[in-house]
Amino acid sequence: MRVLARRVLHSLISLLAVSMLCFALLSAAPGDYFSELRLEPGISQQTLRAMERQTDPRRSLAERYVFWCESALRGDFGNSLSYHLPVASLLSERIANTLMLSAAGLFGAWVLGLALGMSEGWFASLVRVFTSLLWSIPEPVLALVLLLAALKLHTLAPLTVPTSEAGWSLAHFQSLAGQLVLPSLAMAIGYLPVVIHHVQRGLVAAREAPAVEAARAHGLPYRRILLHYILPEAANPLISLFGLGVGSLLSASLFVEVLFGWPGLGQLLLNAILVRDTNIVVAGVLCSAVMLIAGNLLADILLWLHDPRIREVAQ
Amino acid sequence: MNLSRVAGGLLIVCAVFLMFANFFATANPGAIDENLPYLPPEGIHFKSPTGQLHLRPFILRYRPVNGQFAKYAEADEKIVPLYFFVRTNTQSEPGGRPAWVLRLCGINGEYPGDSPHFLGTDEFGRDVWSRLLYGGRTTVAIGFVAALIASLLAVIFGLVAGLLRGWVDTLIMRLVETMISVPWFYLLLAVRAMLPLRAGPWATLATSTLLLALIGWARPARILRGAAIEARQHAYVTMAQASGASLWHLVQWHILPDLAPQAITQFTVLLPQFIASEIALSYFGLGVEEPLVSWGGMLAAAQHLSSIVEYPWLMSPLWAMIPLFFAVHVLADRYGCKPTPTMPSFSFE
Repeated sequence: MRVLARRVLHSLISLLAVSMLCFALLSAAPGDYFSELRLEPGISQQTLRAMERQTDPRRSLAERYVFWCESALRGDFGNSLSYHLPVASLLSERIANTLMLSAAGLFGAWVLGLALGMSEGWFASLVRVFTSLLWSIPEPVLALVLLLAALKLHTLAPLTVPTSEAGWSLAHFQSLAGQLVLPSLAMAIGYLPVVIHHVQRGLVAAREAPAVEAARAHGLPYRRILLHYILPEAANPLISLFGLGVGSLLSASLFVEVLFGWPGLGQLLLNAILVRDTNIVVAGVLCSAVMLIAGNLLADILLWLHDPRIREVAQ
Repeated sequence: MNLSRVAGGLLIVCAVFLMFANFFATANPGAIDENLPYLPPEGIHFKSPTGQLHLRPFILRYRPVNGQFAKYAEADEKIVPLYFFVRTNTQSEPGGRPAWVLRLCGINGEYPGDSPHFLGTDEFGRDVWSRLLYGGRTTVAIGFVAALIASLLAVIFGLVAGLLRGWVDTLIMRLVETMISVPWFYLLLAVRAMLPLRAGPWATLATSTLLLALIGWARPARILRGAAIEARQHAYVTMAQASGASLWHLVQWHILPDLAPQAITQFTVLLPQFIASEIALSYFGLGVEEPLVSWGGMLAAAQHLSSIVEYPWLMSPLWAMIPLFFAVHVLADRYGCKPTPTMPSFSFE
């Protein structure tokens, strides 16, 4: 547990570093929200000046950073210039959507990947060919092919914004799941080859482990050997991969979200960059870092639970 | 069937097509033709509609239907023969100095600048096939150069951190950890947000390249640092050190050769990732600017679902990516070191 606490502390420090880096980078950026607005012919100079006066007058970087930290601790992460709302309120719903999409994608990739990766004989070779083909198809292509297929089949419901305000009724849940299918499938298939590759590799090595050999010599049924000996033997690198996959899928979700019009963090962040809404960018990047770190932490905890050797080393 | 040979051939074909885009293209990538927006692909045929066989390949032309936007019908004299190794005038404005370019194929056009459109045209009547070649050149060049710079940076930082150790190591590794605690594409966007949005085509080309390189080195640097530490512990390195070899001598003769396969593997991992990232950046309008063509920029023009369905040829960069990625992946798999768990998918992580 002490190890875990240290890990959390470590993560917090790196989050702080991320926020500082982000903040410094964005402050170094030439131009701001208003310089983008100035390019719009429809806004008069007086309006602009009045708007500028309303915003944060602090000038030095350190001052602004401290001010930002205060707002972060208050839990609103500053105000968005373009939406005139606290950033936290903008982000919370988006994060839920992104998380939902990424989690569904990750889950799909692992379920499919484990099922296909555990296959044997001629089917395994088939899976191997399929994997290397899939690996060479970039994710956007997959997403688009899925989109086209759905259009051809006329099953694509109009993508409406999944809001939590509608309440969590069963119908709402169903429509949400229906809309989640395609984008998460695109993400799952995109990540699938990585999972299959590592599952196959891990299982091949694990089949030769002495414990498995011994189990086989004892004449245990194959299913039991697979579930109780081979899989636990191969699990460690796969658990680490699971943690790393969180980052991959978050990055991929950015693209998939824009392509499918899924109202997640990616779209918000992209728009914020285009209009130079600094607070949203910093908070958005920070959120993605939190999710990534949480994913890795989760993998560490799983490893700790799974492997008694790691527990021993930790104590 | 030798898969890696197929992949190598494919890669060479791709490289030749992109390198000699001037020759294989049929038109200027920026040449606008207001009369032919969204022209469907004009296929290459040998057999005419009447069943007659022609020795010389020809295309079937389409002509705009009067008064309707982007509606085409087959032209009357629709058989237009293709000529090979033609010198074409690619002058940009009518009064300007003629600029002659050798093209693989062309036609006797009805007006200057008329060219076959093997993959149709986009919303401004620009030739998609030519843009595909020129755009691929930009995109792949950015990815390649960026991956080269990033691998170099990774080697340098990995060596410095792994050999000097101490506070330098701590500093570099803290920086690396900070960088990789943000998902790759989010980090890319965050740093992109720092740069000016509009800066002219060549400036955006340079910034895209540097951006990818400066962000992408962190992950390989961590792997190479580990490799450098390991390489340092070989007995022959200790031996050389004991016989008074300088640090530079050690690096040059013992450690770098040990690191080279790892560095090359990291390069092959970075390359497709960077190409995909460049495509995504320009797709979002944060990459290379017009008039420079890039695959992402071409795809951005086809963002709407309706245009994907009605003008599917606008999606051609996506199909072009498949053989390229396939080749790179197969070769990386065959000749690279064993994939580590950090080996990313071909997406953006």
